[in-house]
Amino acid sequence: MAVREMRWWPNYFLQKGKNFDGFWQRYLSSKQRNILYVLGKGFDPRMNCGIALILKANSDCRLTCMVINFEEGKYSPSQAYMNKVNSNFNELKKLLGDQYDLIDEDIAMLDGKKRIGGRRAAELFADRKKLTPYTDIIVDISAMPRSIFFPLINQILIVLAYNDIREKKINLHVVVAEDFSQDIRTSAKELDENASYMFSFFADMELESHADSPIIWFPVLGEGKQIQISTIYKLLEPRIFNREIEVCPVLPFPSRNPKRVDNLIMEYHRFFVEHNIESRNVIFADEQNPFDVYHQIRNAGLHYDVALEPLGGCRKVVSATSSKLLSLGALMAAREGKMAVAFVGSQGYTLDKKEKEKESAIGDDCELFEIWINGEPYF
Amino acid sequence: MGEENPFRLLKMEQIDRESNFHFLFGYQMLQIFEGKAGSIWNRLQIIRSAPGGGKTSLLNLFTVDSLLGIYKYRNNEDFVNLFKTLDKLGVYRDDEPAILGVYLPCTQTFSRIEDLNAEQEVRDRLFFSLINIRALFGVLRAVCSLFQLDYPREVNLVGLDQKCYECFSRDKLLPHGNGKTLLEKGMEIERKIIEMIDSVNLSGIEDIPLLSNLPMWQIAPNCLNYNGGNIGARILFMLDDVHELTSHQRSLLLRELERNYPTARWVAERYEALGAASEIYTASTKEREYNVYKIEQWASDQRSKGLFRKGLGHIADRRVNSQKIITASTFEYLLSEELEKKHKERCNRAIDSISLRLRELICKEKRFIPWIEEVESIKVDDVYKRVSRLRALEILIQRKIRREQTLFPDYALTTLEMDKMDSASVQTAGRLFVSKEFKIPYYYGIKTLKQISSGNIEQFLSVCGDIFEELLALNTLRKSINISIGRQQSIIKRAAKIYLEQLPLKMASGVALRRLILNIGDFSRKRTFEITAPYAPGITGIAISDYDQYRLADEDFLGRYPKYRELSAVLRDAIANNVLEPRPGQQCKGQKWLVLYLNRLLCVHFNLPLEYGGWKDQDLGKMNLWLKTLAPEQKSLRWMEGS
Repeated sequence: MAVREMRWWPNYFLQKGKNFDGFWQRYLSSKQRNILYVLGKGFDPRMNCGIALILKANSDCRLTCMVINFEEGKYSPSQAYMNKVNSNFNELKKLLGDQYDLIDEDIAMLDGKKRIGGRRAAELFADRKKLTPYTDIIVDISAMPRSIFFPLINQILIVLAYNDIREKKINLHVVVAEDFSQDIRTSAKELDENASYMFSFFADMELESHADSPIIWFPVLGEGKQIQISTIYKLLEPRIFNREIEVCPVLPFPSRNPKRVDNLIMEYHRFFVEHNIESRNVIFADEQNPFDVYHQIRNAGLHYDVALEPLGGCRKVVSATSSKLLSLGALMAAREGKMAVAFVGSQGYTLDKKEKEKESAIGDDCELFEIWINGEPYF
Repeated sequence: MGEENPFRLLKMEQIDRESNFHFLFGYQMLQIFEGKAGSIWNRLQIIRSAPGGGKTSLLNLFTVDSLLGIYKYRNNEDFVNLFKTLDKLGVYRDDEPAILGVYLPCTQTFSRIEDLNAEQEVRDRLFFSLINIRALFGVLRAVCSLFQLDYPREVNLVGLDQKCYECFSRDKLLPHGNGKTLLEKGMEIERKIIEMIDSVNLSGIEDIPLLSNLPMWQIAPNCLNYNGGNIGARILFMLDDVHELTSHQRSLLLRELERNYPTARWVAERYEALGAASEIYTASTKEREYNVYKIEQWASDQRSKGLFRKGLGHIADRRVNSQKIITASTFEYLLSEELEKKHKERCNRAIDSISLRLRELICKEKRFIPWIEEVESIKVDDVYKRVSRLRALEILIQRKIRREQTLFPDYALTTLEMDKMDSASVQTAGRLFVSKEFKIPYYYGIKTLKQISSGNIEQFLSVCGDIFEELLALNTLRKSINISIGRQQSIIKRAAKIYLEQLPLKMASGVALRRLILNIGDFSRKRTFEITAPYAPGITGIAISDYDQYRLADEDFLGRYPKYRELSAVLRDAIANNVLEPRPGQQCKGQKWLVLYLNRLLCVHFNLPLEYGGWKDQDLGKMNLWLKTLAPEQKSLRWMEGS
């Protein structure tokens, strides 16, 4: 059996909580850095957590901030929170002051009913020269939808892999302010009727050469996403008789809430039963470590590749309906394992009513994570 | 549980054998092609419905595997009707399929071509290239299925006749060679196109043959070879989900498909009543070269309603027969239609109450005594019918009182007058009013289940599935496998509530649509339960004028009045998803109206009757207001708890 090389396993770089602050202080003082900080403009109170701490860690670093503004449409449910969006943006501008550059990028999420946000986000870095002036790229996904940060990070990794740029060892960090309960309270609304594959993550899903291959699906399950999971299943299920889908759900364990897995299994009970999902198919991955998610999915994918090779191989699909931290693991697995990523877009988001009352408290419970996925540690 | 409940096998793809699919498919659905046996192979056929309407199942019936399977079981009593119906359409000839059905789903890949940073002409050509490649794969697979070859291993035994290459130059797409050469070339081109669509640059575009039409559709019978011999079957290309294309691509494609081809061409798409997509624009002024089928409208149409509902019954019965846990020959058998004891008691109390009201009335207006005596004299065993008749009488009396003020309230009216005013609609209203007032179940039985399908098979199966879950639970508890009318109503009401609640989740503009539906429902309920039941049996829809319909589809109008843009989008979505059922061209007050009926399942939520008929016209201003404001609290909805 060939040695399985995983880029981000077993050696990886992850810092969280208090270690996040310490790392950035040391990192930014060790050498002069030129940072491109990319973040999304949204109503999420975690939007500025990362950049605020990094600037606090070292206010002398060179930093250009790129803010991506998602145009979700005039009738999006998110429009109800425009005040919060503007407030977050004003706070950001205050943080940056006159010392740091600010680049505003507008991205249309939809063209009519068609999702184009992912492509537009990736196109921001189509020109490789855009990244070369920087030593470090930080993508803060705290206030960025998955359909944006998946293709965005993927495109950056593609560009950084070009030979002429690879030599520069440009570092790519992903920062996320995690508040595990916040994700549950923010609901996607007005979901797309059909699921689709994320831009730059089609893989082999629609190629005739793989049309008869079985599909292995790794849904990373999160609370309150039954409709999305059912919709994605409809995308994958065969239109022609006798096609197989093997479902390997990914559940967060260990988890801060030790009963979280039990609750998820109960919530998705009907899905498990209807699709005959065997208990041995369930994958457990650390709720707080995206590299564990990556490793588990990647490992399982490789096992299936070997097992199904005599039958012509298989197609692998990942879906990330859980926290952004876990989604990041899914992204890494999809990129390296050439897996498709299936998702259901939404027209916007809402905060549940109880949550609106204690908005000011949100963000106090969040924990910052630093995930370093390209550059110096990997050479 | 998923396997035990045969109604949960929603998608035909979950049915793992062709014979199971055919067993469960209602052959009556094929009546939609009645009278069109000549033209379905020669002209473009456009099949439209909401999601779950049965488009995909209908198309898949005509794939080679399916037709071979049906032929194999043609003498089996479970499949004989299906075979005969297909045979009448000309599908078989000399013991084999005369049609080579090729199913082509229009996936999102096609629409993503429009996102490429290239000239429109280049994008159009890429679109045609990809669609032709997919058609090529479909044809090769179909031929392999026809001769039971192992695809792709034995595809080398298939090929194109030399005639194909002589007619016009297709070798850009189709190199000379056998099926294997064609397949490999096709896969290579497809991979390049997909990789380009999935990346930010256009590298490799120079290696892709760019086409501007549909050469695959020009393959005539006898142009395909197998093992050196010609295949005489006509190719049938079936494009599904054409609404997934961009409107530009759709127009391009349909314009091409309207031309004459030796292949049969069918297209299935979502129904759109508003907007440019509802019609195909042709440059010529000649008569349109296509037939259009609207499945839900066909299902609800007077002539075909019986067929569709019969088909639903057939589907339900087959599903019940396909499982082994509950023994029953028909689904209807498992659904009680008998009043429970407590409901009979309520009916008796209702009779007393209504009789008392009528007595009080005739104290003031003796003219109605003959009417009351007439109704009371008719012996009806069914107590529910008896009380409904009394309540209907009360409605007629109220109508008479409001219609004419008389100086002679004691001058007896003839029963002939009552008969003139009476109708089946009034009787239905009577039953509905009784149900509301005295809390007697209204929504139960197989007839109701068929009505609330709203012409949509998936919706029918979903609610039947909920009922069957209850039956499985009764079976587990070793209770009688017969579900009471009260429980049926509870389950149907819950399904209706979930349907409404999930609108914001499942649809773009779902939040606004839900507000609109709640307001329409509230309005309909208030008008339905007016004392004289003026729109008996009730209002279940609204209507906009033809002129307003035109305005909502007109970009100029929407540009000048952007406040109606959301309404236009919401109505379009609602119609496309069968939340509102359109009936265009209804005549009233000297003009034409587009009537939008509530989905029948929503009628259950608002306690409205399930019959079509009553509607009220609305102007755009009112509709817009409803779109943006919350409906009043519907406290009185709680009366229909049904237990």
